[in-house]
This record gives sequence, C-alpha cells and structure tokens, in this order.
Amino acid sequence: MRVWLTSPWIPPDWVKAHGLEPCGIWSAPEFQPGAHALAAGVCPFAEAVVRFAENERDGLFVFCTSCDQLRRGSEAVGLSGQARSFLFNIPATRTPAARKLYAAELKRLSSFLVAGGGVAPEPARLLDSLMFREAQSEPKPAPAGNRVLVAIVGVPLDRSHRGLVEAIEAAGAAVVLDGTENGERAQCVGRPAPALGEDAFDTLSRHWFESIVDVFQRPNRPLYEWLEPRLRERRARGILLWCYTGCDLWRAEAQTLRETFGLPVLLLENSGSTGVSQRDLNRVQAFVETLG
Amino acid sequence: MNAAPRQLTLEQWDEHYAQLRAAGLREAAYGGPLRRHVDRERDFRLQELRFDNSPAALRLWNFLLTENERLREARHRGAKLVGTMKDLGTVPVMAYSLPKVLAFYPDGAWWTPCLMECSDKLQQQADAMGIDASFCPVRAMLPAFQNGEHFPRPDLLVCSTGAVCDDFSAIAQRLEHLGYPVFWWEMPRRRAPSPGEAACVLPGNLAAPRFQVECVRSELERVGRALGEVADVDLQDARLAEGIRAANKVRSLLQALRETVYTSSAAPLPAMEMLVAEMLAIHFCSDREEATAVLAELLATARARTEANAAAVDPSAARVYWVNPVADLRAMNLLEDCGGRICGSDFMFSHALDLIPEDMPPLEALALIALADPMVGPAGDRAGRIVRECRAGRAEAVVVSRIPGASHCAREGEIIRRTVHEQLGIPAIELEVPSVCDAMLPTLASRLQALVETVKSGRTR
Repeated sequence: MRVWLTSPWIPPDWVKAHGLEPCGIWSAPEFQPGAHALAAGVCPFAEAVVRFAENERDGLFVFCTSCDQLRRGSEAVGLSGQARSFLFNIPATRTPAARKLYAAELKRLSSFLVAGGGVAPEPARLLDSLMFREAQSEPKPAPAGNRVLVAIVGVPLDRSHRGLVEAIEAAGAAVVLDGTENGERAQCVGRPAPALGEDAFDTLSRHWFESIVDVFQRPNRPLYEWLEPRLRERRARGILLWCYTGCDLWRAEAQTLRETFGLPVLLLENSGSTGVSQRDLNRVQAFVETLG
Repeated sequence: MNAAPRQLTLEQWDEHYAQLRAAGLREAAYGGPLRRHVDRERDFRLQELRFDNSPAALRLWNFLLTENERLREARHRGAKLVGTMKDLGTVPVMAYSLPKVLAFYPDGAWWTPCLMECSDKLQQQADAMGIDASFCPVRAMLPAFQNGEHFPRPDLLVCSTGAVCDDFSAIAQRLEHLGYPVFWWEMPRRRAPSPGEAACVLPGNLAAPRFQVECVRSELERVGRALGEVADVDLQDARLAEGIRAANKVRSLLQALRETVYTSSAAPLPAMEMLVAEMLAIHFCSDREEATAVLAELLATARARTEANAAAVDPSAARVYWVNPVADLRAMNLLEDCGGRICGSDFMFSHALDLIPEDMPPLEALALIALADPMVGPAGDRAGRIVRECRAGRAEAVVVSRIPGASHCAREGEIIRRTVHEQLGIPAIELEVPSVCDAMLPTLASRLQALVETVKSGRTR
C-alpha cells in the first residue's frame, strides 16, 4: 500500500520499515496543483493535496504542519470523511523539546501506519534499512558550456511543473542546484551514524531531525548555510524562487535571498495553472538574458 | 456627570471633554482630550470614528493611544522592554512577573496604518523591505522596527513558532534576517489525545496530550530563563504565581465585562470599545496595574448602564457574534450603523480571556493556557467555542472577519460558518476588512445590512 507523504522530512525509511511504500505526493501523476478552482487565499498546492487525499481511496495520507495551508488543509480532509489521513507535527525549531516532539510524532505515525495495514517495524530490520539505504551523493554539475548557471529553490516541483526546468534550459541556462523541497536538500540525506547507546529508532529520529533544512525552520539559518557553499561552488549567477500564490514562507524570503547572496532572484509564483504559463516562460527568458 | 450613553465624533468629544473637566473629571497622568492624539501623533483615523461618551471610554482610549509614549518613558526610567510576538497572552504574564520589565506586542503595529490613515507609510516601507500587500497588515511591524518612530526597540524579542500563521512567521523571520535577534520557542499543533494517551484538560473546554503540555512547559521554562537574564532576576515560581494572580484579576474583570455587555438585552457599551478592552488582555497595554483600573472603570460603567436600562446601541439591533479582530476599527462603528450589535467575540485570543489555573505549578498552568490558543489547534475546536458563546450571547448571526493576507483565513472561515449553521441554524458571513476600509465601506455596509435584514426578518416568523 502506498503512503503519500506531503513532506520530504517524514522519513521514507520509517514508512518502508512498516512494510509500506512511501511516495512523495508530488510524484503522483494525478496530483495537479492548478487544476482546481480555489477559494480566496487558498494555496493551489495545498488544495491539490486536499483534493487528491479526498479522492484517493487506496492509500494513506500524511499531512504535515510545515505550513499553515497544509496544516489546515488536513482539517478539510478530515471533514470530508477521509479517515486515512494523519497530520505529522514537524517542529519548526531545533530545541530539545522539538527533538522530543519529532520522535514522538514518528511513534504516533507508526500507530497510524499499523492501523492502516502496515506491520510494526522490527528494530533489526530498521537498522539494516538505515545502514544500507542508498546514499545519494550530491550531483556533480555538468559542464556548463556557454550556459548561464542558475539555482532553483522553493516548493516541490511536481510532475506537472517539471517543464519549468526544460524551459530554463531552453532559455539558455543550466540548473546547477535544485534546492526545491523535493530536490537535493532532501534527496541527499545521507546514511546516519549511530551514536553510542542509541537504538535504531533513536538513530532514525535524530538523523532525520538534524537533516531538516527548510524555509519553515525558525530560525531558517540552516537553509542559508546549506545554500551558500553550493551556490558558490557551482557558480550560480541567479536564483529562481519557485512557489505558489499563498506561500508566504517562501515569498517572504525573496528579498533575504537577494541580500544574503548578492544574486538576482526571480520570483516565479504559480497562482493556479498547470504546466508552465507563457507568462512564466517570458519571465524566465528575460531573467536568463539579464544574467547572460 | 452621568450623561445618557451616546456615541460621539471627535468634534463632539472636544466639547464633551471640556464639560467633563468643568464638572471635575479626574484623569490618570496619560489623560487628556482625544484630539491631541490627532495633533501630536497624527492618529487621523480618530476623526472618522465614533466613541462612547463615558469617562471610562475616554480613559480606555487614552490608555491605548499613549502606549508608545509610556513605553519610552518606562525605558527612560530604567525598565527593560520585552517584545513578545504571536503567542497573544502567555509570555507577557511571565514578563510582568519580573520587576522593572514590561512586555508589549510589536504585532500591535498592525493598527498603525489604520490609526494614521497610512500617513505613517509603514506599508510602503514594508513593500520596499520585501513584504508586500499580499501579507497580513502586521507587516507594518517590520518598518516600525527599522525607523523607531513608533514603539521603542525592545531589549529582548520572543516569538512563538510552529503552529502559528505563516505570514506572521515569515515576517518575524524577515525581521531576524534584518538584524533583530529573536528568541524562538516551539508551539506544537494541539491535537486531541489518542485513545489511552495521558491527557490534560485545558481551559476553554479543550483537551491535549500530557506530552504536548510538557513540551510547552519546557519551552516556557527556556523563555523564563531568557526573561530572567534580561531582568537580571530569576523568574522563580513564587514570582510567577504572583504574576498569574495579577493577570487573573485582569481576566476576571474582562470576563465580567464581556458577560455584562454581551448577554445584556441592550448593549451598554459599543463594539469598538469592547474590541479595544479585550485587547488589554494580551499584554495589559504595557501597564498591568493601570489595565486593571481601566477595565474596572469600564465594568462599573457597563453595570451602571445596565441597571439603568441605558443602552449605547439600539436595543433592537441584530445580535452578532464577531470573529477575528478588524484591521480598521471603523468596521465596528459600521456594524452598529447597519443595525447590528456585538453579543460575543473571538478576536483570536480567547485563551487570554480564560483564568489561568492557580492550583498547580505556574509554568504548567501557563503551558495549559498557551496550548488552549484557538489558533494552535483545529478550526473545529475554535468553532465549537464560538457556538457555545453564541448560545450564551443569544447570537442571531456570525460575522467572520477575514484579515487581508492572513494564511489562517483561507480555510477556517468555511469551517466556522459550516459549524455555526449546522449547530445553530443562524446565518454566518465572511467579509474582509482592510487597514483603511473607506473604499470598501459601501460593499461592507451592503453585506452587513443584508445580514441584519435577514436576522430581523427571521424574528417576525
């Protein structure tokens, strides 16, 4: 059975340890932000998650508290009678209380997964899965040639908007850093190093908690500490900030990104369209020309 | 001088003030004619508002409008200032438990563009700082910090995060990036206890897992240490217990005021004064003892008017429960102009109105209160409380006032309206009130008039 996750910071290892298949919601073909009519102020991404969860009858859904829109979207799903959803409280801080909260949420998620058809994880199997998980190393940038090197950061790039990367390349740029939520920040979470006296669960919890690098953290300095060396080493000359209308957390960072890295930032805001709009294509082209 | 209740314009208040003074009115040190706030502070909006004519209301308005001045004076006298953000009601209780420490909400700058009718240019300055009009009006806080023309820069900034609205969280993070260190503390998203899970009862008829209460308690302990460092005094339990007792005096007065006004058949105080009075709950308008005195005087006025059957609002007005504070105070006058009156309210901090338990360790009591924040849990919980209070206030309609750009308003209004309709069968509308609502007045008035007509036509059936 599939478990649809709305955040990369809910460990897929943990879901697998329950004998279930973790899937990022952005990978679902039917997941199409922009395909639904929106009430005032509702984020297209969050609405798409809600509609997907309401209509999908076979899987389990794990919402998260990393943004207000998803947090409250989970309530809308609950009201529609969908009982196969769970709201995971991802802490915003890195305080000792936040660390305990994260661990407690993993255990609570476990109960939900077992009730939904999973099996209680065996510690030995969990440890094996952690130790032998495929560690994805960070991509080596391809030779740029004459291309303008850019980074893309922001919300997850779902299937319906993958054309954005093609559009960027068609404009003469190369994306050398994918800092979107389902990009390198989460994909390159490595293997954990167990600490003395720690059991497999503690290792999993600690490792994933410490791996969170995202805009919703407070302070969100880890995001900037993650971006800085990569932008520098990969010689990015501009940043495309990809987000949805209603995504206050990312939109508020546009100016800080400019000020911190001294790079031009193009805010690409999807107000509810599938695919890449002509307007966004024009803006990407103009941005790349400016950088060139 | 006991005048019959009336709502006065600023011009009428000029004359009324002279009469009160001639009759021997005695005021606090911050007292004086309301007009001076227009002349000195450029609070031009006062010229468009109507105010209750009681000396208690005069004191309330002067108390509110002199806050920045009083904060500066307090700093000059050696007080430490703590800017508490977002939690609306909990951290100030702790701060005021310490000697020579005052706490205020920089969030309150959200009303500055209203009061100054945008002559402050805070919103334009916020645009230039990267936070545009798609964000909540609390964005005015950012340039207010930078230009220092409104509140003094605090000695410590404390901000709750986690289960909070995105736009405020983003604005506070931008503030930190601009060089204002913030002490962040985690607020978990309140949930119902799972079967078999150790649980705690929270004020406001709520419950939460003991684990979450412990999480908040330990975070407040961290906050307490930070406050103690600022004050150079440990925030020990005995001090905190005393602070809780003093806060509860304010809360008791407010509860009595709300009960007197909201359950009355004819409102003895108007809606705008009630909104401002309730705001005193969250940080005592930077003076806990004076806030107590201000509320006591308001309560005495409300009770005296109720006994005398003296109404500040037409007794036949439609009884409306109001959800969320308005960015433009004028909207409260507008409701009454359209034939409505407030019979209950949820201005986003109902947890600051409940009494803090005094029969348990103080930090645990504060953790219970903090976790009872209506914005921290499901909108369904909030809707449940609204329904109960609607019944108590005999509400005939509900208005959910959307705050422009506020992330929580996208979904919660629908849940609240649906719950109200299902459980009470009364009409509920949503409307959005910007910081200066003049251009929207005809639209807002139409919506409110239609609501009042619906209510009144329902009475005859």
